[in-house]
Amino acid sequence: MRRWPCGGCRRLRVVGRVAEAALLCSPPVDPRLRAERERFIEAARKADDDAALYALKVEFLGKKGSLSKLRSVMRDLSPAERKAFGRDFNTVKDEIEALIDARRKELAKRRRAEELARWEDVSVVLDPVPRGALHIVTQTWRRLERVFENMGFTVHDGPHVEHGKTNFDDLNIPPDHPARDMQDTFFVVPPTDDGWERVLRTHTSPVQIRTMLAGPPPVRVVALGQVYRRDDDATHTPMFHQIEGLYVDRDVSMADLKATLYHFVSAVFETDLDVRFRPSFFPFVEPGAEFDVRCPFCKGDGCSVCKRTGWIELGGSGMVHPAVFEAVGYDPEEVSGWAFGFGIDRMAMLLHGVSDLRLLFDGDQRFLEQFPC
Amino acid sequence: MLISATWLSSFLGDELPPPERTAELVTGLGLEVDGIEEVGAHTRHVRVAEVRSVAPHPNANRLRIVRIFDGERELDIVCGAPNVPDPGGKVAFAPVGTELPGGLRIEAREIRGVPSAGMLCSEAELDLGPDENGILVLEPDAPAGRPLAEYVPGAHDVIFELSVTPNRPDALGHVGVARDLAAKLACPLRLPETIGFGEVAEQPDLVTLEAPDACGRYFGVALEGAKVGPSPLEARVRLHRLGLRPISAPVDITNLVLLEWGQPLHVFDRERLKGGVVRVRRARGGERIEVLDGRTLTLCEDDLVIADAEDPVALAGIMGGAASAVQSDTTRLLLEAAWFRPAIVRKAARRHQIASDSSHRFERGVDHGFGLERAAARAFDLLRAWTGARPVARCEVRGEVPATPRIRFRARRCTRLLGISVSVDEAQEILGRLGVAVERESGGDLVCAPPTHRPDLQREVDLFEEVLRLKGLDAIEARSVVPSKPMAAAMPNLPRRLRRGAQDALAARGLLEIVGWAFRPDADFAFLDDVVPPARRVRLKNPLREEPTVMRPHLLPGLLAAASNNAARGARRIRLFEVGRVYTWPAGDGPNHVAGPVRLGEDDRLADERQMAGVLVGVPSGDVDVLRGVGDVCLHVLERLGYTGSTSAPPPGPLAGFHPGLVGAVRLADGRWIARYGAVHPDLVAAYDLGGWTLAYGEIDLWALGPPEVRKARPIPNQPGSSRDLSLAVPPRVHAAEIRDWILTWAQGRDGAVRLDIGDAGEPPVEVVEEYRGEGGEFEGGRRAVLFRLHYRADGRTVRDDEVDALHETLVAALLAAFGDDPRGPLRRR
Repeated sequence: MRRWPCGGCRRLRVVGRVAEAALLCSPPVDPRLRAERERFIEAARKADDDAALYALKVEFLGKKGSLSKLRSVMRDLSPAERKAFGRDFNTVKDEIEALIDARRKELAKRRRAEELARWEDVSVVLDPVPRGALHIVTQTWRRLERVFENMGFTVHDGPHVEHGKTNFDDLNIPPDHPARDMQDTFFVVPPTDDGWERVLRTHTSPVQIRTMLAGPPPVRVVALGQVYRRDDDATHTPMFHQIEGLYVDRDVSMADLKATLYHFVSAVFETDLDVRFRPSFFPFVEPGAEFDVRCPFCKGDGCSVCKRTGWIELGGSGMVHPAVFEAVGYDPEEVSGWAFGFGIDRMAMLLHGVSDLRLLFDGDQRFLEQFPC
Repeated sequence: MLISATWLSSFLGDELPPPERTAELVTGLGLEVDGIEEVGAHTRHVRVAEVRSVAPHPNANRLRIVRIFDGERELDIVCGAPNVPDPGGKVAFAPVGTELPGGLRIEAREIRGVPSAGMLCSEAELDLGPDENGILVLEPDAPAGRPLAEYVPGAHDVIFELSVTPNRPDALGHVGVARDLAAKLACPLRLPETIGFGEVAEQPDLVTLEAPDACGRYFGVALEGAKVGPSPLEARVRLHRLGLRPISAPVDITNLVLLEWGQPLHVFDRERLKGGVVRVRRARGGERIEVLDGRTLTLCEDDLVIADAEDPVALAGIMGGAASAVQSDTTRLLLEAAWFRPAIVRKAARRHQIASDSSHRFERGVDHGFGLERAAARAFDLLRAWTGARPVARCEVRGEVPATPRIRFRARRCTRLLGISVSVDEAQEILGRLGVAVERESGGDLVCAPPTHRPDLQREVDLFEEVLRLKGLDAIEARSVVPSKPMAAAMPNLPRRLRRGAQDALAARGLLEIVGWAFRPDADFAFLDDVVPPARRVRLKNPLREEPTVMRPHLLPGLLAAASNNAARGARRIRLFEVGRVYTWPAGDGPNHVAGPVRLGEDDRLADERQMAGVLVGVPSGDVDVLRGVGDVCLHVLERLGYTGSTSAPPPGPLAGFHPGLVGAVRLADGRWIARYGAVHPDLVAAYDLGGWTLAYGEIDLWALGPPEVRKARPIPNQPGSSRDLSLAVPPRVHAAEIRDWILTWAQGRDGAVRLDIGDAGEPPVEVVEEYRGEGGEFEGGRRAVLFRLHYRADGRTVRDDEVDALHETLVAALLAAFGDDPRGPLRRR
């Protein structure tokens, strides 16, 4: 079978097991060898650790070891005796080596058994390292980014202090239009008296403008980040987080918007969920629609999260208004596109079951550390 | 916008579907129903009763015994109201068992010894109006025994709360909602019949239009002989149900027509108009008018007013003047029905900070055609009927009204954009139902002229939406398209990568991320005055609270505020971080930092938005290790992001927010200071009620980082090196890092076989291994002993002791010499 090369070796190697050492044969004839052998067997019995065994090896088999010294005896022997002595000498030497090795293995086995017999209670960690956590808005932010990146969207951001023009005019919200009241705006005092209107962006939609000004279609982006509205009550904070999606190309239709929203909610909630549209008005899209998702918690049967309706209102969407295309120099006869947007904070609260919006911005460690990651 | 089901159904040719279904349909049309409330269910039990006799109560002066006939029998009721009508009069009677809106359940009981078989009720008790002075007295011809719910249409009703988007001014009246519903249900629309003022004599000088650009149409109708009294009960109930207070017939009529047609009207007391005429003109600068809410406004030349022969009598489209208001003795009326240009009304309403039901509708654009005419005629009819007034004169003037657009509708394009199939016939039929005048061209395109009550229909896509609304958005099937050409791979987004990396690194160090407010009170940043002068702070023009508020130029106050909250809640340890932007106006020393995919030319006018990471660690009492720990965190974050650096002495210059003597920095290999850390300045610790805590703050300038380079592997030495320890007595205010860096720099500039290099176990070339301050911190006059370990090695061979000794001694001599005349005191070898 051909496989992709691993980059290192080209063939598998089999490493064989090392053969066991030989066992004892008949005892030697020479009394000196015999005595050494007896002495070693006696000493080996007493050696009960690796260091003692090593010392024995040195004592008997070292360069100046007692057995090694007997080698000199051979000089004085007849050739026949020398041959027999030599054979016995080697046998004893092999025996000693084998015995040392066997003894070493025996000791290791014993140590292993002792080690395995140990018992300690490790069931409780007395001083755990503190866990860090990303804020659940960050966690949700990333979850959304991941889903949309997997769907081929590029992630963009834009400035928080934005031109009134980019935040409103280019998005088909002209001055003195009531739609400008839909989002109560924070205005910024200009650094110099230049008459230029600067606002805290009231939505992530200016990133649509910036993206389209950056290059020609096709454009497929999401933008996530802080937005600001002059609202402060139990369900609104003056700063919150929004995600914006934009897809512009030839022949992009509302059917594709619905498909994208369907894929996205199913991926975010990790279950198959229906999406429905309700007509609504956002100045920078036409037709405009709010989109609801089938409640992921009760699957539509009705629960407290969806207020027994089976649906959760998620955000706004629609087909990019031709006036927006005109503002960025796209030809609305040539291209079409859709956009959507919704709050990340609310999504985080839904996913994590948080009912009090204030907890997100309070910095209470007891809340933050509930979501370690 | 509140909508009455009873009223709504009166305009429909077919029966109104049940409330939930109606709500679904209306929401499906884009007029979102936020709430459905059934009101006045009790009025099915409350009946019209006839007073038969009134007798004094034997035991109470202020009570009377009223014998009534409830349609079936006579009953005695004890009643304390002063206005019980004479026998034959009709009253509202709540029999035993009725539950009134306040939760009061009527029971048979004795009142001061006299049994009472029910209760005669006031308007307020029945929740039919605000009047709680006396019982509700009905018309003499009211049939006794009739349930009130039947006698007064709308007494028992369902009220829908609609949230109407600003593009749909037509839906700010019952007729408009009925129109949409009728189109959806394909049933006839039944509009109220009107007689109108066509027969009334014209008086050309009754209305003079001096600002035709601002006022497109103005009807004035003069009436005389009016008797100003209350409106009929049905009208009063209707207003009450829809959240308005009945006042008097003329005022109620304008309100009813407003709620019916969405057309604001006004009625003047003509007696109080100088000359008895009105002029529609721009205000003269400095003119003043007292309006109905009691405020006196000083007008400017952009304001459009209705004036009499001399003075302004109303702020056009917004609010009438107090001086010309209809009063109880008013007999001569001037009815106004007009169309004012939305932008003019909106600017004036904002300028004078008045939001009225009238301005709300004019701003969005009311009907200047059929709707205006019918609303005016309707009000005229009602004025005659309810006040007995007779018309004496009328005048209509015309200015500029928006031209009706002619819009080409291409069914193919509609199909392509919506992703549902729409045929020309179908589109023509649907648009026709909505009152759009449609002509079909030979090519199959439709040329459409929207009705005047739909100013939002301006372009082809607006008509697409109409078709979609009526077909229903559920008709859209989810269907993905494929990009027409390959999408370019996403370019790396460095700020985002740094943000993610920093967040992950900080969380991995056991820290908790907060999301802090991007704006805070300016006073929180007073500690920055030397670094970011107030002129460079990004100020909000209209902050939430009155105190001056700026976009944060620094992360520390947000972290300190969170720390303070946590400490107050009993936290034993603070471990917070935030990665976010700080905002300043550019210092003018280069292009500002604006995040985004493209930099627009005018972005120079925007603020610097710099991404920073801030860390705040605190323990109730800690030592310098806590501070060094935060330095290590900063370095670690940068290393994880792909940069190489080391902790070091702080950069020269002021470091706002830090204790001046307990501060360090992280320097990158290229010498830039990229992070600062140290103890929070004691003034700030005190300001946030954190006295006693050891607080270490660290911040990393993520915005200043360029893309990191991919790290290259270094060979691992396979010959042993050699190390030498160097113990130095270091004077106060000399940082060990300065000594280390000096040594490294010195060694870099030398050639030779032996060099400073990593240790055998991978240690850095110069290590600080120990620090000793002596018993009680006393050691050689404030000095401390610092033990450095220097690692030497040679290329490709084992280094020899003698060559290491030689280099080491040369190095030490040079080091001592270099620091010999340091003003902080010389280094000494130990």
